Amino acid sequence: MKLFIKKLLNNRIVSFFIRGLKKISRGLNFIINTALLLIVYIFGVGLTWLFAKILKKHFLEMQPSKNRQTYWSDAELRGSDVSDYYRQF
Amino acid sequence: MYILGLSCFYHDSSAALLRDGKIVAAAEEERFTRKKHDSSFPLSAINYCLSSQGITINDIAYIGFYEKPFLKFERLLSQYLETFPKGLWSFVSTLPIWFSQKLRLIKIVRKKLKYKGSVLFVPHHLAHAASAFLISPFQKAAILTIDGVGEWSTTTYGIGEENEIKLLKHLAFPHSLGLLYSAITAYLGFRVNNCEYKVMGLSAYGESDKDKNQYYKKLKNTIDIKADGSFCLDMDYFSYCFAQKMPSKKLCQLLGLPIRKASEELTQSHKDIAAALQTITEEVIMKIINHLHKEVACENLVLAGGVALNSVCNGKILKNAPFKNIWIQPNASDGGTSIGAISYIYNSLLGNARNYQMEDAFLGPSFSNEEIKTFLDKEKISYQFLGDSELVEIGAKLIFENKIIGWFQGRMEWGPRALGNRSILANPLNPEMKDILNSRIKHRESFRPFAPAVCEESVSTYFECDSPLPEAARYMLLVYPIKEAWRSDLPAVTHFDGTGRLQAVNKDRNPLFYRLIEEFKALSGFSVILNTSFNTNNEPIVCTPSEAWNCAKRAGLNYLAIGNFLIKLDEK
Repeated sequence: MKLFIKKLLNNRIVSFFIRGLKKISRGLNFIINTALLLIVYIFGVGLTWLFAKILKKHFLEMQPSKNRQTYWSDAELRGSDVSDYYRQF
Repeated sequence: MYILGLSCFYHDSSAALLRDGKIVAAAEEERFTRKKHDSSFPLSAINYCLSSQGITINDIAYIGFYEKPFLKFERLLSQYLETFPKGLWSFVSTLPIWFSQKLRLIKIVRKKLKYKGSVLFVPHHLAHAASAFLISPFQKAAILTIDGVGEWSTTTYGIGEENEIKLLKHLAFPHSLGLLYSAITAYLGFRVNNCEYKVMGLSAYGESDKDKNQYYKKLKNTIDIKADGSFCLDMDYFSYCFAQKMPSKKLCQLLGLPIRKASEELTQSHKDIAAALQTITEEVIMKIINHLHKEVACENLVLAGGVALNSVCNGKILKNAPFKNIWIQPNASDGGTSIGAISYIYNSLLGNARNYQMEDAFLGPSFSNEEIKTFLDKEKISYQFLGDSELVEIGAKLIFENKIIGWFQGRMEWGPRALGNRSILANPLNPEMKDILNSRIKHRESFRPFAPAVCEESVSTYFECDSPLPEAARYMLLVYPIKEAWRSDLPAVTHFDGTGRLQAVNKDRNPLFYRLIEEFKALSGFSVILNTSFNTNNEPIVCTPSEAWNCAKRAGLNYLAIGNFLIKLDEK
């Protein structure tokens, strides 16, 4: 049975068909990913952006400030507890 | 105890292996996959590290990763939230790879390596800091890390003492010297994360006087630099927060030129822009270093991060800053963080005393004469087998006769520079050699300079260098002016502005290469050889004998010295 499946997979027509299916699945994957991410971007990111704009909250500092003496800020102190480093954040 | 370090998924993947505190193997993935700046999971580099010690993945106590992916993802989301709706295309194209790869490192490690042990995540700039301090010769040092961006930090400074590192202050994304440099690199038509060093080389052709360089004043509009060296970019001029393209339309309007296409000729304006960028970069770094000295009372300084590869700036630090000693890891950019991660885990987290100091950058694979002979015989390549003394004697003679030879010896270098183990060597006295190498051998831009390899004791003869000479000079990390008296004698390695990015060759660290240069001196009177990397344009440096042979043929080298075998390729 295994030999038969192996022979089948090595068959030119079958492998051409499988390649074609893979291409189609990649294409479909791309379309679905794009559509889903588009929805997430517009409703997830977009709505959050809107609320942030109303509340005047910024996520990044985009402009210099002449009033500031320095732009240095405190670095997050990392201890030597190994358990901190198992986390990806 | 073995600890394996990994860096991957952004650019320059690498793996490094530590055994009981000592770095025993390290290599970048690109050298094995032959894909320049390969960012994929470094399976080949890992396999090399393990096989070099005759161990398996089960012998690894910890795997250290060079950043905290979720923190980086948080920063990415912040970018999209701040720049909505401009980031739509970037969001849609970037996020799939985060979900399939970058946020699944543990799963990927378990699947690809069948590893069941602990995986630790070291913050990016901490990995940079560790990669410089913990393997440096200093027990106490001020630490400065500057790169594009890690998770949030782009620049950090702190202090290292014994086996502890404390990062004190940082600058956060999007304000990044590395990204400023990359944005202008892109503006000048070069590839980002690939060609920043070309812009550094190009800057020598531009106007270095800031009062005369109109682009200096213009570029200063994009960055607010405080007296303590901290800075803030005006993000109206840069679009990297939300787009793949880095310079914005406003930057093009400011500089008065469109983004240069790679095929377009470089004009004096482009060179002046490169010079202005280099001047501003040096200004910022010097201010930061001077501020750092006030904050951390110490005579030693270690540098890391991609910007620490700016050897033009590095060569000016000790002259212009109160520090007395400087050390820079040869693979200062992201590729070197795999070493940082494992050093940090072993020394700082596990509390082990430091017992290793990096003394050379030869951490990659080597090939015995038997292995080389097997390859040469299999390919039916004619060769001469020579003893070491004969090899250096004949090699020096060939270089003196203006032959270009591929030099493949010992363990492969760690980091972007070829240091005499995977090098193409040529005569620095020949005024035509630079053009020959650029146009016919390496197929690269004509403005690109070549580096001199000099016996360590002779450096001060030829260069206006720091005294004592920093160890960083061994790794081609410092550019110094060549003394006026020698410039006309060394035309192939003297850059347009009279400088050279020297490699100081140490007698004990690379004895064969040292002897070669000494033999050349006996013939020519100069203990200087032109040393460039053994590759052609857009190709990683060669790793194996087969790659060396193929590259030598492709590049049109005259001779190939591979191990103790000398192969003649072409009489021209």
